[in-house]
Amino acid sequence: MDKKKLKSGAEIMVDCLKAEGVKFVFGVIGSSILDFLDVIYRSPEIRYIRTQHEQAATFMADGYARITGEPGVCTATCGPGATNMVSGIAGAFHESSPVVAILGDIHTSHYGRGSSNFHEIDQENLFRPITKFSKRIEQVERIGEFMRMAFRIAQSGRKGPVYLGIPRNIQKKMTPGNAWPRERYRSESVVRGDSQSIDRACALLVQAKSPVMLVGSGVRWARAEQKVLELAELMGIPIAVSHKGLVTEDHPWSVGPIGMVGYPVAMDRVSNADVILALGCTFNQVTTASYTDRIIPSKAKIIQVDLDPTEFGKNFPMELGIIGDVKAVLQDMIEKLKSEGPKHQNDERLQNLLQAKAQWEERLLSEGAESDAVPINRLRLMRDLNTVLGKDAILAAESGSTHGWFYYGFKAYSPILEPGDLSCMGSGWCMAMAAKLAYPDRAVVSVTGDGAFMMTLNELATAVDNKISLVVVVPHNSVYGNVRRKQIEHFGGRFAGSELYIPNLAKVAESLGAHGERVEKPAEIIPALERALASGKPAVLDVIIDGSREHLEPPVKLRVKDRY
Amino acid sequence: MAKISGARAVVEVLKEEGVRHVFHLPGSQIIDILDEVYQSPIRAIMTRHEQGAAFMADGYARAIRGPGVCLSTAGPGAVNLVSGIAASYKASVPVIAITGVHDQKMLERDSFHEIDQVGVFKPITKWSACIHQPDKIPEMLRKAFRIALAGRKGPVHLAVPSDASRGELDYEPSDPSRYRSDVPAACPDEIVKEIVNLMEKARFPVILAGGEVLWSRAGESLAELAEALEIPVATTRNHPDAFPITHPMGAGLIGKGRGEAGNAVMKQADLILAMGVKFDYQSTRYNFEIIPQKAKIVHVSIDPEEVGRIYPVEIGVVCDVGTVIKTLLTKAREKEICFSLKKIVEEIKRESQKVRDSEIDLEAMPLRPEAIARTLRELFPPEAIIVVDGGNFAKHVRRHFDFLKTDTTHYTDDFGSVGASFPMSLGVKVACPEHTVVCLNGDGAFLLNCQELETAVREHINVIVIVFNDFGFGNVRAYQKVKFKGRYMCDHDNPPFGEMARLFKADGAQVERLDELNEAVNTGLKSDKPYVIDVMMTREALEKPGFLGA
Repeated sequence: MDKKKLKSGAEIMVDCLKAEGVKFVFGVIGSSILDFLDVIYRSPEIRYIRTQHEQAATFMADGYARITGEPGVCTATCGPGATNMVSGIAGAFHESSPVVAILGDIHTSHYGRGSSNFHEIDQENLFRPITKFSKRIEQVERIGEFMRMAFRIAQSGRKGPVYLGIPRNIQKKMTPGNAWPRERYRSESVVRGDSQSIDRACALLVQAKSPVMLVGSGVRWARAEQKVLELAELMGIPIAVSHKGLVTEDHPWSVGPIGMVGYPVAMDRVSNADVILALGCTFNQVTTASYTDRIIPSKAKIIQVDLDPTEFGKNFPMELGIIGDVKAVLQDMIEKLKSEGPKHQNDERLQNLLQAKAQWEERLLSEGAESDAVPINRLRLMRDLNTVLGKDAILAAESGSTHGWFYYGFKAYSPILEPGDLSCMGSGWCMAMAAKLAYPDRAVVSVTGDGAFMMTLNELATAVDNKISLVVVVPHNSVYGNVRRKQIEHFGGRFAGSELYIPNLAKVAESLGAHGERVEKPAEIIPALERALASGKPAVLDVIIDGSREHLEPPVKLRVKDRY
Repeated sequence: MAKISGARAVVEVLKEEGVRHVFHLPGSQIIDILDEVYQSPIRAIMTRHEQGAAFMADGYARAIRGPGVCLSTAGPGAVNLVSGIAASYKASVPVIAITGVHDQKMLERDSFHEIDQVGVFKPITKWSACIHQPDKIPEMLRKAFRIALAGRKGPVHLAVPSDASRGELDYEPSDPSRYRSDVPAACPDEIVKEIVNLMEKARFPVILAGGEVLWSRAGESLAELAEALEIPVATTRNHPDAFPITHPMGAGLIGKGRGEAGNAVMKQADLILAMGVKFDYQSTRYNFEIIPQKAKIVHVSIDPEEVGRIYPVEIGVVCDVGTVIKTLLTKAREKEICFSLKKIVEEIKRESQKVRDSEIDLEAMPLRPEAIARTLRELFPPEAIIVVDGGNFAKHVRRHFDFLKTDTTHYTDDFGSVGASFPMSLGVKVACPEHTVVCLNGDGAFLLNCQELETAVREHINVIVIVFNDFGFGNVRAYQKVKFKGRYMCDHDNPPFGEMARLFKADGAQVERLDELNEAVNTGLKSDKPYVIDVMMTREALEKPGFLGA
């Protein structure tokens, strides 16, 4: 393209961000990215969000990418700034989340002197196993090309994080060249499924006696939820999910998550299925009870639809694999099935299903969803959350026992921001901060256990500083509940490292300039939530919950014999 | 479920995948797996250097457009595979490399042969891993095939420690259709519509065909598309057989000093339909010398990472090229889009032929490489498969040896590992025993892997080897002549290759004139042994300036 005006490397970096339409950059400043951030400072279309620790910048970039589908950009200085980013980038890699990490790196003349050189570490190799692409740039004239490559790779096919390290002196150097418009260097063309395979898939569904759809995160990345519902209605097929909220739980055919904390109604449908239409689903360990036939029946014929052909038959043998964008494949299937005439004579199937769901609701009630007990029953907390929040609220969850209870008791209407397969504690509510930035008009609430919250508590300052008014609901029982349960069952109640000192989190929040309240009685939950949402500030609800043995894990949790 | 050994499980999966040949060099850590191969219908072809095994697997995979398998022992056996696997990686060839490893109790003790094999192969494979437990062997091996053959193809590496090979597992048979899919994705309608819109506005569209056309077996559809649209098809320099120049719309390859008609049609292009190409440096120079700046580019590739990498695109399509070509063909016929460029292409080809003819001196003595390349083309049947090495002689082959049919050539120059062509040609011949298979290489190249003559003789792999003999590394000589004032560090002597072949119990001849070459090739074509033809040139033959630049 045009090669007239000289620009600095940093200016070209920012030009490339603008070409991508990047609105936020999350990070912590340091000497090696002064030039880059100085250009961002002068670019009103990009908002820089300063976090307290680089890890939070990666979590926020990941959350932003998941909630918007656009790349999430984070930055840090070299050395410790880079190593602090590892957990978040690894989490994004597990979740196929397009995070673009643009970091400073050691001056080209100092590079390669190893441990004697301040801040030097081999960043390119550090990030290689946890990214789709990792590159240190040595020449200013190649910055534009590698920036394009980074975004192309992050957003192409199965998405994922990428890393670029740009030495400080390279950011200062001048070079000609303008940014390319994004449609000139990467294709967003949708991959359609092979039509014969689609015909076969349709025939398998039509012949099936107890089919089920198994929805994975690929459906979220493809924004295909509506097509899933359409197919379910057309054919009368129950929809189970691998992760909570991938399909709204208030749809008649939606039966909720399967896995270690699956809903019985979903587990029943899947374990009795004769055909499983798996959509963008990796059959991960948690979803499949450690790759056994306890949930995924060995007799079921599996139709796998995935953009990534290396997922086919990876964990379970399949009947048919269709490479393609989930949404496009579903659209083609729906058209094909419609053209064959009316479908869905499965009223009985639906009635059975609705009945099972009603029983499930009753069970939740009987187990405490309306309980007035003190300390608070977590199911009551979840139920009250549902009462207060509208369907457009964005929810985040954390790993640990809180995750199980959230799965169990909360009714989800959209995908939950959850730590996912790597499961970094404290990442969920940081992702929620990014969601609030992306959708300031929607309520954003994170349910974060006290142990997890203590890992990233410092980022409340980030929320206050940037006026991010999310609500963090902290079920507070001063234990790592998940570990404690295992210590009770397998280690004679020796609570090595699982009993926690947790301060009064409401006061901590207030001292950081946020809204904070402690909630001890069930009747206080709803008013406190309403005040928190109305406060216009970041808010923390420190909810004292029942930490006794029977409340450590939801009662449906599957146990695998030889695992803790 | 039956209990079987890990080694047996390796072979069971190979059988499941329909593998018929493996290439190897034996050693203590691969011996268990080899013993299972011995007891199976799979033919094991032993080589004399592991590099040969890797290149043969590469040639074999290219010839069948499917997986090629090579095996080696631990340590030096494994690292000897590296050049071959790297070449497969660069050319996107699905080679499965299986290396033995010591018993795991020996590891991390700096034991004999021990090296981080998984780490060594990581940067040059799509996937490299060690199978620590016998019960993971079927899963990991199936994953290896899945990854090697999915999307943009490429090599994978699995290290199998002896204790995993000797251990036992419950083996459950499967079928590739249960764990991978060969069915390509379809092409989105909207994109096709956009491409058709661009075509309708174009005056002189040119198709640029690359390697993905061959891997997708789309040569015939491409010919139909070119005929329907009546537009020229040029190819990248490593895949001239993606669209034969003998086709009325075929313009041959592009590249400075190599292409002629290809460059000429490209110069006129206002729309380039780039089908499965990576716009490599030697074809394009990464600038606008060959690819005109004014041309709009539609770039189709199965690999999203290629689209828009070198040149900004007008439309990028991530899809199997064969699928796109077929869809475009339907549209072109429906809408009766035709550019009627046949006459212009004919004219361009006539002119370029004159230029190329003027470079040939059949009378020159000693022999000139241009004349050798042209003569060889006339001597070999059109369906002969030609494997071409790197080096300066290859530039003359590119310019004067026309490829007449699809799937008849394999260039080694994605990576450019000199000496690759001879073992590759053996792999091709194993896969296509009914075809004439010819290796074109230089004298420098041949001496890198000539020990595989013994393999060829022992295994009755009867290829014809042509050695363009200039007693040195001619491309280096060209540089050192022009840029280093004639300080040559590239000249060497050679044994008489025909005689050497006979010592290996193969056959061969040394030729100094074209009539001798003619006679030798005809003898070679009829020979029941590998046949090596030593074509004598002079040291100066390949140092022609004008070919400089990478």
